[in-house]
Amino acid sequence: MTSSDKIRLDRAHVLDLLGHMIRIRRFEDKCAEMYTQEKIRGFLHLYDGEEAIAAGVIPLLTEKDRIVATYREHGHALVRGVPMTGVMAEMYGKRSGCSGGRGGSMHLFDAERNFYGGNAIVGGGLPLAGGLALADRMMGTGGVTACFFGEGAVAEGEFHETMNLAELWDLPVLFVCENNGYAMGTALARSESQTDIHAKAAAYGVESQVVDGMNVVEVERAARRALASMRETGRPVLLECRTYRFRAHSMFDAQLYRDKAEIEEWRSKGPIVRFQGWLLENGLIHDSDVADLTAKIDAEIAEAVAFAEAAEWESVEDLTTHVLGPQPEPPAPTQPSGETVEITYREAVKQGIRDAMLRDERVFMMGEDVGAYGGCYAVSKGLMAEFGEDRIRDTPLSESGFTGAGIGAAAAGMRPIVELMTVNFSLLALDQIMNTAATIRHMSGGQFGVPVVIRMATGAGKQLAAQHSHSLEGWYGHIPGLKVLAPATVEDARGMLWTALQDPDPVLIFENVMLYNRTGMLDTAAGAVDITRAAVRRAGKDLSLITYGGSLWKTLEAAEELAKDGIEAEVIDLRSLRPLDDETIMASVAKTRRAVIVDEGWKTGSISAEIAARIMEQAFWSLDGPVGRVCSAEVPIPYPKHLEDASIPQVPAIVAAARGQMGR
Amino acid sequence: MPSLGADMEAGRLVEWMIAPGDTVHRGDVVAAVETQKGAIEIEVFQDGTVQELLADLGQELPVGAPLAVILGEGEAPSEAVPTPKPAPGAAPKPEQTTLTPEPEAAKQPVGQPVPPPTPPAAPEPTPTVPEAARKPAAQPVPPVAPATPGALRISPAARALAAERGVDLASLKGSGPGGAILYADVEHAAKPATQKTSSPLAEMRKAIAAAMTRSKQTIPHFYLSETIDVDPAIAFLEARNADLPPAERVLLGALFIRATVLAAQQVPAINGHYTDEAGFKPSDMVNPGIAIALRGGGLVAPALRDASGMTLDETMAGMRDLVTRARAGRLRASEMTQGTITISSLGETGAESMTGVIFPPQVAIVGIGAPHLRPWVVEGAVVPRHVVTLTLSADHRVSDGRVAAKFIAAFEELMQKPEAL
Repeated sequence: MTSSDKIRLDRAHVLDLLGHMIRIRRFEDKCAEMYTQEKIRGFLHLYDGEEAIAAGVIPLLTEKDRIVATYREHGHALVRGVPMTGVMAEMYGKRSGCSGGRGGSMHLFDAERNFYGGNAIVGGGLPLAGGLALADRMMGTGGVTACFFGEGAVAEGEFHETMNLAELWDLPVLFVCENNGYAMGTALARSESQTDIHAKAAAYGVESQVVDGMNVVEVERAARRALASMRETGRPVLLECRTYRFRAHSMFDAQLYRDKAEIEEWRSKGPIVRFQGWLLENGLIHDSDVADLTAKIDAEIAEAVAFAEAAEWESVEDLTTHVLGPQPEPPAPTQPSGETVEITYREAVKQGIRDAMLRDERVFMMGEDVGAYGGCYAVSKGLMAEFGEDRIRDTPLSESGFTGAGIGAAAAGMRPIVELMTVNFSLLALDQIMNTAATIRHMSGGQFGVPVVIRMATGAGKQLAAQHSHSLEGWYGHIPGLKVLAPATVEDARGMLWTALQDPDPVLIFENVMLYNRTGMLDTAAGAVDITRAAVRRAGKDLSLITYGGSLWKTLEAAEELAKDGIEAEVIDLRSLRPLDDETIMASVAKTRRAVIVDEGWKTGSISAEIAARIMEQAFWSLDGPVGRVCSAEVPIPYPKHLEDASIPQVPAIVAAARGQMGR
Repeated sequence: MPSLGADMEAGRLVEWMIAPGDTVHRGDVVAAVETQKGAIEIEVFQDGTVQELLADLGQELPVGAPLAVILGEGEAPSEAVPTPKPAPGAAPKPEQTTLTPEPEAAKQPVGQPVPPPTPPAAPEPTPTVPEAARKPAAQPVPPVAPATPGALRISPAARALAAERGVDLASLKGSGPGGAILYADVEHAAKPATQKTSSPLAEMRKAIAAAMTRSKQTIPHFYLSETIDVDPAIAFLEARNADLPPAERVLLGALFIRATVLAAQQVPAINGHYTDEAGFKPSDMVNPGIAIALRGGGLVAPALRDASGMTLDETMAGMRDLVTRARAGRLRASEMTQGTITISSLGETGAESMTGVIFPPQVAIVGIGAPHLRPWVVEGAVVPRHVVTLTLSADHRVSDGRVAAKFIAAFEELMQKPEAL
């Protein structure tokens, strides 16, 4: 036990501990009151009874350490030093709230204090915390991340994935499980085969310990010991703090799942009553101290309420600010050298990765089999040897865990490239991509961005059947906060990555599996390319064929066919599915007055539907006929070659659709 | 909506003379349509019963738009009676007759009066709207082209351009899939800028100008003149009209028509039609087109059908009827196209001679100046006589001076024995 383990229970310190807890308690009492007055809406989860945990742990963290909390996080924010005025204003939904009014009670954020929310997907905060710690480890900051979560989270895969990654990669995360016995209304014994949570952590080799969460001194002692150990070893520790919440799960909870007697019994040994009583009994403080403390706190609360009441609402005109970060200027086009080399798409992607790794030491890549194996599609072959295991990082098959880790690392200042083996697997990481990466900037009022790049293979054609062959990039195009790219050419395969890494927002890059072996001529001076505009790959006047990714080449082939009949098709390569380059699309349609969208996604609810709708909205009066679509058949992609071929857009179907538009 | 001339694209329905349930016979006048040439009566070319009127009064309808459904004898009323509202084009069943352009009247014009124009080679007035598009044109176009098969399809781009350029979409033939009217169709149609604001009179002058220009550019005219003594005719008329009320009197003009008809019978080479495709086709009938000046300006030349068998009184009555109806704007379509030779007489208006421009596809026009009292040599002595100068304008592709002279001689001889006319 080092000196930092010792707790000096002097008067000042005990008053601090008691003060934190009373401050949380009285603040939340006021929140409940304001809720009943409809000043605070939505969900309001109170920490009543669990105050000893935040009060015991958070004051031990240094300024550079980071905190990831849950939706029951008012106490954590207050103890961390987020001003009470900002917290109350946030719950009111006001502009001067600590998340700009966009988050509310469940999403308190404060970048200045490294307070990463306010995460309301149970378990979702753990991969994020793992990623923040990964960044600290890679950057050598010596910082740790305290990750608070309820015991309900241990049923989520993200808990297990993160436990494994943290121990495997020595991530400095202090996992603080606030075990209050009920996941909402489900008692632990009802939902877990193993109710000892510390034992679950131990199974991954994570050092863990059970702590009396109702005793602030015990919590502080355990946390002090854990942090000291972590700063020494860099390895994670889990504290299972057993506690109890006296109030309902949220304001609208009849508490049918527990007896009043049980609540009363816990109340009697509540963290404040016990600690305060003990201090008074032992003469460490006097009644007047408590009265002074309370008066001071009440004054602060009154000020916070007045502040929130007086604060202004965010203007509706600013609704969409903070969806994306400040948009960088597109890269200047590189001057072609005139010298070109033939290169495969695979090699072009690899060159892009290598180039980025060389240019920026914050860049690293991780994913399943990207290292020793060389990448499922051999994109990263040889890179681990060149850049080492840290920067070309093999991951376990934990899509949510390592994607979340990439997101956390990006939020902490790294520039991760996450490779998901195929788009179907990305669904296992969808929570992290959608609920964290795409959301955190807006939810935090613009305080946190996630400059991560997530690459994945997409599309059919390799006879990989229904769980490896789909084209779901259109789905991702649905999500505000993301950028979605589909490089089809070797130039884009090489040049989009660097631009994507400069982007302040999460960028998803979809590489069609049928393109990896395709060759193209690439200028030796080729560099970063613009990722905001579509490209006209073939000019024509009779109709617009709008496509992207793997379908581009089929569409160009179809255009060649059509030219034999005297039909001059214009081929547009979207390049970016989000945002869509409406300007290029509409300019083409205005010229040709006819459009066919070629999309390897399914038709229903697809990106092709979105494009067709936009053409209706923006170019209806330019049209000479209904917009046509060539999409995948609405089947899970089957295995046999002939059925697989029949499932996805092919040249004859594109030609037929185009002819149909021309009335031929 | 029948085509009443190759220049006609649309007409405005101004009167219905039938109602559902009426029995109609071929030749009955069923409606009146206002065209750029004035109001014209529409004939029906079928016997039957009126099942339904498809067009509303005041509607501007393209050529080819169905106006009414007439059931022939024994035909059952169709369930799917074409209502002009949603998809009228889908309606008329093959066994039903619609008032669409009548081949007899429109495809092979049998005659053309002087001023109302038709090109020398009357182009096929095939309906320019596809089957699907045959609907009352002035129907407010639905905001979105109806999906009903057979309904008029207009692309949004075409619609927008048509609105911008003031093109009547219903008059267009669509070149797109399923006959849809496309941007390019409107662009094409919009090129000769349409003039919607000019008056009907200006329209008529424009039509006359176009026809006359075509005539002079394509027909090699030649002219023969002769001065003719009309005292015998005047004397004959004075005697005949002496005790008659004005309405029953015969005018000099009627004698000129009779003389023209009978002379033309003798000289078939100036009575008929010339087209580029068929060359000259002499007509079995003589249908004299009578040039009638309209009040307020403009000219029409409706024809008297098969006038050779008429008496003088019948000719006079026919002439009166045509004048009355021309000035009332109620000529029939057939009358506008059947003429085989035109007579233009200046009557009392003073000028001595009139050299007319042939109205295509006819091959001759007889121009007659006003009667003047002139010194005339009769049996070696100079005496005062009323004379008129006749000028025959003839088509040199068909006839020559000899033929023309033969006509003039015959005319002159006929005028000397008015009692035989």
